[in-house]
Amino acid sequence: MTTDSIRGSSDRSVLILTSLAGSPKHGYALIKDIEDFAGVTLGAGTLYGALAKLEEAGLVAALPEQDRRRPYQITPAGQDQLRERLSESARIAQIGLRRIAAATS
Amino acid sequence: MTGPAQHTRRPAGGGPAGPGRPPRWVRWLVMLYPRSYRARYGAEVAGLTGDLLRAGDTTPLRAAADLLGGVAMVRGNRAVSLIIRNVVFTVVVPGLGGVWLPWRILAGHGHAAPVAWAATVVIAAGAALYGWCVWNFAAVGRGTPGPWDAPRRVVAAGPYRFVRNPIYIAALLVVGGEAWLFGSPRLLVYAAAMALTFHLFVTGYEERKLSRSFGGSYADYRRTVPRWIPRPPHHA
Repeated sequence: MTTDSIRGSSDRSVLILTSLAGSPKHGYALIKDIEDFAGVTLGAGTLYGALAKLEEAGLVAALPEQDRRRPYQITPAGQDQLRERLSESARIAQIGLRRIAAATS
Repeated sequence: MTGPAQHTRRPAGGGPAGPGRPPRWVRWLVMLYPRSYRARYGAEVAGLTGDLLRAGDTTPLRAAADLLGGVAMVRGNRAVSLIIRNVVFTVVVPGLGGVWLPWRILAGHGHAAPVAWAATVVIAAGAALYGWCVWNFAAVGRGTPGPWDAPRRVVAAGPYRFVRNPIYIAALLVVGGEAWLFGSPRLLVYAAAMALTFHLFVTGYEERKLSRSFGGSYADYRRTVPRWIPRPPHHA
């Protein structure tokens, strides 16, 4: 799967990959972590809708179930993908901030 | 006052106390996911929704909307639109003809007390038959019972294996059951008028239209399955 198809499924993938970049997490811990660092509250249906696409693309992998909850971890391909997307976002953010600063100074 | 180390029932990493069984309506909504997705993620989605509800992190309404959003992500918006069209049809048409109008007929003549509770079985059977029909129209035919938004192919599954017009039969069971429940001759007349209207509509319009739309496949179906009186399916 290419960058484009992940991009199509919006920022949720980036939030999930960012959360999993820290440590493997099950669904509930993912929702709470994303809420903490991004202020976005995902529901179970939308979380798993995005998670399924990421797993299909080989960007995350399921771990064995613990206490009837299944943790997920980011794969090396997922790390590459995330690095690429965040670098791109950072580059655009920099340009945008510079332009705003120039326009208001 | 200082006590011994405080016990917490929460597992490390946060979350509500242990996963439990999600509510029944959550498991029903999860049934809307495609089979393969459900086999892999269904239990996790339902379990997580149950956890979020128990922890007070979400409300039933938001959880239901989120599950439908998940179905839209997996199946596409067309499937969710199909679900919503069927719910709207059910509220508007059977809701008006099977609930609101009978209620008006009863209320208009001071006849509101139930007299025969056994009739609720007939009403429930009619409602269940209706649900079974709608499920097949949506799942097999990708349509609704409304002639303006009908299935795109001949649906010969579920109750349609036994009889060609089970939705009309379901409607008559519900309204006939209501007439019995309230001992209301007026409702019985209403049910009889419905039956006559259905028969004229089916023979005068619907069957011709289906023949025009579907040709051979409808002709075969019409030959093997009766119009009104159910019959065990013919296994050739």
